[in-house]
Amino acid sequence: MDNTEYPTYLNEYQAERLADLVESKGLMTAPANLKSAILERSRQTDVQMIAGANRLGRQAELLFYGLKVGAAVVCSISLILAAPLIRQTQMEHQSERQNRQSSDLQNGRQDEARLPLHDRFHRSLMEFSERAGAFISEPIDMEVFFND
Amino acid sequence: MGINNTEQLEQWIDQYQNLIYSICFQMTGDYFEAQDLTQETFLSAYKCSAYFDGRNPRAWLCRIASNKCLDYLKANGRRQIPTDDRFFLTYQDSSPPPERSLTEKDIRQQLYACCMRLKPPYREAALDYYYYEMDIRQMAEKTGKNIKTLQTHIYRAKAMLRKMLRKEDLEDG
Repeated sequence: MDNTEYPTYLNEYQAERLADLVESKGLMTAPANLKSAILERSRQTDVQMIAGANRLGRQAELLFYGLKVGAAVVCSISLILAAPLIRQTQMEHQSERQNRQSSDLQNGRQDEARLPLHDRFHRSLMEFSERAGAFISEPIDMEVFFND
Repeated sequence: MGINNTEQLEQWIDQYQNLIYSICFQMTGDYFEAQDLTQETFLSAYKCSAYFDGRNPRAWLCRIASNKCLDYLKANGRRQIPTDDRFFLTYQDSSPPPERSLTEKDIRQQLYACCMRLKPPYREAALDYYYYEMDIRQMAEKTGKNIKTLQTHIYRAKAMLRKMLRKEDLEDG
């Protein structure tokens, strides 16, 4: 059984040191036909396929990263653009609600149960969108406050 | 990118082939294995060039070469090589440059003697390719033989030479 201990793979610093040491002792001359043999081999289909696949993989990696960054930028811009619209809608809802409340006070409060189903659904939806709008615009308000 | 991958490979070979070959020979102590590992190192670099950051090709190539040599040594499991820190100390303590050139000359002499012991057509193929370091195309022009046939001759000659050199190594001690 082989009990020889082998060094672990070299890191870049160790590889650099190894190169310095070998160079300091004088380099051997590589066979003259080595270059042509390597170039010949590099032109073969299997090597070209692996090199091509690696290049494509790298490009796909970069493209995917670019797409992720692009999507994040688009989302951020759309949120920034949507913030004033949300606030505007919220204000419109508030004024509409106030108008309705004042008209209710004037005409006497109607019984909620007597409202048609679609009106009740509409009212619940409005309330929900108001709360959602307030929730979203809260950090934006804070941001505006900090920047002011 | 102003330079294509093949041009890049050619540049690396021109600049670092002696260094990589020396590292492989130092680590394996085998003439043929050093050639094969040098070739593998440059081919791996070519295949993975898309992932290379372009900062330090010398260190990168040396790293590939040394890792390939370690893989070879581990797979063979027969040569004693020192561990981590002692690995570098061994290099610093070993023979000075004049002895190296003598060793290189010795290797060539030994190679010539082994080539001469082969039978035709392997003798001619081995001499032209390994001793005179001729290109396979030049050999095809010189002999008028097919490249595939010559490749087969070289492959078989290499196996026989390897066997002879190992046998001599064992006999020497």
